[in-house]
Amino acid sequence: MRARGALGGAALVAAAAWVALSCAPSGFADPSTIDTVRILASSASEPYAKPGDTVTVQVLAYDGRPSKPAPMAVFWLPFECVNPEDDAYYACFEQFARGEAGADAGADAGADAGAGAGADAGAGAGADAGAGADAGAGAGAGADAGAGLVAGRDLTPLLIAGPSMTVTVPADIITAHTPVQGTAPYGLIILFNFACAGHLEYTPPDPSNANPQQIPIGCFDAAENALGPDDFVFGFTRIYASETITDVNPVITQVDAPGGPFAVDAGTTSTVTVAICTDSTVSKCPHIAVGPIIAPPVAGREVWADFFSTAGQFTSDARLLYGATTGSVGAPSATDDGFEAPPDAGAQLMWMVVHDDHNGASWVTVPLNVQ
Amino acid sequence: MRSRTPLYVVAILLASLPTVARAQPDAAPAPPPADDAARSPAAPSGTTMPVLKKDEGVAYPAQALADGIHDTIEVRLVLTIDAAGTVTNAVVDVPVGHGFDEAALEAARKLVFDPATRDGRPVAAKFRYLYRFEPPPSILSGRVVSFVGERPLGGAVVVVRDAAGNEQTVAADASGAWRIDGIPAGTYHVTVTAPGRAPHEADQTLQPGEEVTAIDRLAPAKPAEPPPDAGVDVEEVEVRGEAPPREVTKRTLEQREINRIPGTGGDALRSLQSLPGVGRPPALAGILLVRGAAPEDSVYFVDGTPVPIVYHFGGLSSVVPTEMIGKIDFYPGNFSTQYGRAMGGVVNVGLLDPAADKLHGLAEVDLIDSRVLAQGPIGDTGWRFAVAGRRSYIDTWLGPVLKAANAGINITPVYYDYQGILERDLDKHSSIRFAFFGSDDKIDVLTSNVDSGEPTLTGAISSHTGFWRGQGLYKNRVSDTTELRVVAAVGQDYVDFNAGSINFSLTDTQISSRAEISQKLNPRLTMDVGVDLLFAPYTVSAVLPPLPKPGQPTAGPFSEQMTKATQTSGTINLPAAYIEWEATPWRGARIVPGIRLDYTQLYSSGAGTWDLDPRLTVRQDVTTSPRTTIKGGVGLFSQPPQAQEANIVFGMPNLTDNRCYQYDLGVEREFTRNIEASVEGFYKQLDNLVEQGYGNTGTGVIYGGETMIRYKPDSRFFGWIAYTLSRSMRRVAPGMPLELFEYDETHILTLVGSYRLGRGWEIGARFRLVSGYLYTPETYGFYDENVGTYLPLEAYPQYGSRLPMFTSLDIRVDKTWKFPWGQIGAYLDVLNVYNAANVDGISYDFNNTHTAYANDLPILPSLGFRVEM
Repeated sequence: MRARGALGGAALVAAAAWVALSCAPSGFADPSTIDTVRILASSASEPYAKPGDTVTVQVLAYDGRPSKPAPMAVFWLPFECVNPEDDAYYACFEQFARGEAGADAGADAGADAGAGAGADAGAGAGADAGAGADAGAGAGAGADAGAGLVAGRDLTPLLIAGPSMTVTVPADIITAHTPVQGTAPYGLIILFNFACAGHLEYTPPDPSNANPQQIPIGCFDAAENALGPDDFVFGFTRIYASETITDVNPVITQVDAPGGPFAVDAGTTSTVTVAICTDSTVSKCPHIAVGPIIAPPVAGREVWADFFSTAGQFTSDARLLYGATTGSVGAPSATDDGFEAPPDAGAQLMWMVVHDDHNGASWVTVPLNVQ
Repeated sequence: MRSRTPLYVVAILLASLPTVARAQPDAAPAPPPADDAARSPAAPSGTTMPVLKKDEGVAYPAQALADGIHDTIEVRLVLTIDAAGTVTNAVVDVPVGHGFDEAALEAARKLVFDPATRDGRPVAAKFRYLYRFEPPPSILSGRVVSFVGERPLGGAVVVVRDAAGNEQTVAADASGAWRIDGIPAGTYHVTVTAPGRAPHEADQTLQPGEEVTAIDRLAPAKPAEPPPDAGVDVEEVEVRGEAPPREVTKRTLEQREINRIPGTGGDALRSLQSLPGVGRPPALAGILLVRGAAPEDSVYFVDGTPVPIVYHFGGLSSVVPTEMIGKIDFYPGNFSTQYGRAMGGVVNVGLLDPAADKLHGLAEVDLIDSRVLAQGPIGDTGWRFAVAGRRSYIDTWLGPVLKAANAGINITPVYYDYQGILERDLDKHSSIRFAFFGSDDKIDVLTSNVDSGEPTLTGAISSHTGFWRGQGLYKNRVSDTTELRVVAAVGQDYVDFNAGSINFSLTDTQISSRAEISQKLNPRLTMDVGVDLLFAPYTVSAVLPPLPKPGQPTAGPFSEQMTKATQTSGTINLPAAYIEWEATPWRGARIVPGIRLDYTQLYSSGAGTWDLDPRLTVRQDVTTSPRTTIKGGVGLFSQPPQAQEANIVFGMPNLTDNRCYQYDLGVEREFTRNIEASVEGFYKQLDNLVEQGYGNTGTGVIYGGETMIRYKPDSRFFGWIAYTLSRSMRRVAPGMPLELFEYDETHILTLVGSYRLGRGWEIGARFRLVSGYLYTPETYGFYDENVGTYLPLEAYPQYGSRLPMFTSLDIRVDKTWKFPWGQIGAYLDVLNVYNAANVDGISYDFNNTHTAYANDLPILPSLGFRVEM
């Protein structure tokens, strides 16, 4: 067999991985520090759904801006992108521009959006994503989305506001998907959401630019200034449909932290107290070990935790909990992240988002008392 | 008779330049032939005939040499001179063509005579004049060096004996060089002796005007009389002017150059990266970029047997250590029909011939690896052996360093390679060799810190790649006109890669054979006929994300994509046959037409495809001293799809071979014995390229020029300046734009020089200036909530921007201490001496809003020690 490419490729991948892992760039902003508008994660009620299932997706978003000229809100595109070409999210943009948003999807999404928003508002401590949830607006969005795509028009009334959206998986989603050699039949839905500190407008693609990634939705302030990364996040989430593959979201049972472990109740814990940092050198700040404790996942899943906070600094922005082939990494002492307290006293927030490699996700919000 | 015919003057003239083909260097007028004398009018009584006063000489015409004429040619002229003795008219009596007539006329018009006299008075005269053009002499030269270390053996005695038994003896100078000018064409027996060294004898055949240079590596004298058929020397013979390669461009590096090119750590195959047409590979990528082609478009052989890789991981060193390499032939394009299945370049590594005089040993240590080698005869059996092995020990120090740095990652890279050779001369004309060689690379990475952009690259990651070959090589010079070369090998390639939930494993058995018969049909035509067979049963299992389409952004991290799985086995069958003719129809010309027939069967079921690749190479010497050669080539080159492209799960069915039409045109010129220059333009038209997800839809074009001015190694110095200007473009499918190919590197400038200072010291430097890599700028884009990472908005088309120019100065210092038992060497090889902040890529922050350059290697010293016995 002509294995030259394979050998060279594997060696190259390994070398690249080596370099990537050992030469992390420095001097960049810490991704764990939430000081802008951010979407942190989303979680589907069924990571892998079956045709005909109703799936609710919740999103965790937070506005960490020091000053907020306008409030952040979360919106969903009332458009259920089903089986895009090559499973690429950007292949949905063309569908969207053609006005292929399904009326059913819009109706379902809108009807559930209000309930989801309300539920999440209570669960996600500190999250203001639920503001503006309006079932009525969502109900009409699906029908209008395709027809009302005019550049400069405020799309916000047509979108679904709130931290969740519910869709019904089409019955034919698997059979409608182009067969893929080497994998069991499956289908795919992609949903799009936005965290925007303004209003959303349709931005038609430049016909002279063949880039398939051209962003079709922009976030603008009242003066029609396009808002950037500090005020706008364009997010998407996938829902796979399969008759054979199943998965469940990771279950966070406790949070390991000084004075703990702390029990998780309704997505949050009791307040964790940390000592203020009085040294100008971060490495000399009080250092605590924190991390989620989860129930054993489905066998063969790789599970990791992302860490976020409104202040302070983590040693790593993500830590591995379970390896796909190696299983549990170990006790909390082996998986906990390091956290250096901030220099200012006060109430802060910390999030731990646990992902698996089969679309599963869950999170916990940890209130911090820095003193 | 000639002296009795004063009306006829034959001038055989000295050549004006020492190495050009000239008229016979005989200043004395030669007597005319008898028949001319018979037709000559008798001088009347009281009359004297003109006497030649001035003759500027005449050269053997270049056209004649170009036409393949190398016989003694006579041209008869009828001259008219006036009473002052000036030639007023010259006419060819019997034209002979090939430039002789013109040369004779031009020379004759410059002749000055004392005029004829009648009764003591000058008078005009008309008479016949004969020019005899003797074929130009040849040059036999050489260099005598030690077998180990290639130290010059000054004072070595060289005895050259012609067919009649006449001997000429010369002594090699301090640099080991010797030379005999003006030697007639013919076959000579050359005996080289030096004190304490085993003598060496060989026959050399010189064509008229040809310069043959022999490099004799003399081993220490044997303690006992060797068996009569046991050779003791390794000899390279370079034939200049008359035996060019079958290819348009063939670059061969000598051991001295391989060992001493700064920045390579003395690694043989890394030295290739300093040659024209070879691009700068990305840092830590063990790939060879040849003339804008993709890495997988070039193929590698060890003595004709294909091997899958040439570098250990990271490109740190070659899979065959320098000490086990006899030579490296590198063909950047338009290569012979004996090679196929490639559109880029060809590298053929020749393993060394083991020493026959006594046991030799070598050990070398540097910061990366250690290696040992032993070679010598096996008693009086006539067999010779060589064994070598190497192991890296990066793993022994990298782990503690990372731990001390609290890097949160543990990496244990290990590579090793091994070689064994058993060789014997069966008789004076045939030899057989068995070789076993292989390579193994393994990297284990363990980390708990997650790369949020690709979480699967976390935890335990491992990569294990390697190959081994058992090889038999038989060579037989069946007769003066027939040579046979057969190489057959069996071996295995293996790849295992695991990262989280994805994995890839491939094992294939490689059975290959290559046989070639070279038959000299007549003095001007040789036919080479061969077969090139590759049969490879394989087993592959893989769980991988789908491969992205070329030119398209990724669909996201593969950690959340639906993986594809395959577990298949099958057989790849790639037989080929070729025929080639080497024609030298006239002097200085070499025309090599050939055709290669390839059969490609990548799937166990179904019919394969046939490819017929015609190729033509033409070389023509236009001057002989200094030699100037115009060369060109055109050919079709087919290349089977890659394994993953042909895989039914990850690739596409019913693919056919990639095709490339190559055109080359260039000039080579030797200015002196050591200085040569070449300029070459190339144009490659690609079509039927396999594009992932599209099929055989791709096309492309690569064009450019490369030039090299080279000072070939002498006793003190070697070096070269190489520059390549090129452009490489691809189109994925009809209707899509023609865009720069990701491996396009517009400018590649390399300067290399190394000088022996004496007392065992040698210092060298290499300077490189290369266009930056192409890259695809990224900006703030989207948030993938399933993985928890931002995905960039990629500029379109991809690879539309270029990183800053790369420059680097590398310096190497060697010191050798000699002892009666051998020598000890040490070197300091410093990469990037002035610590240029070369850019290797772009680093982005987590949401692609801030960027920074990712730099290539900083100043990096490497220290090594070597002991040779």
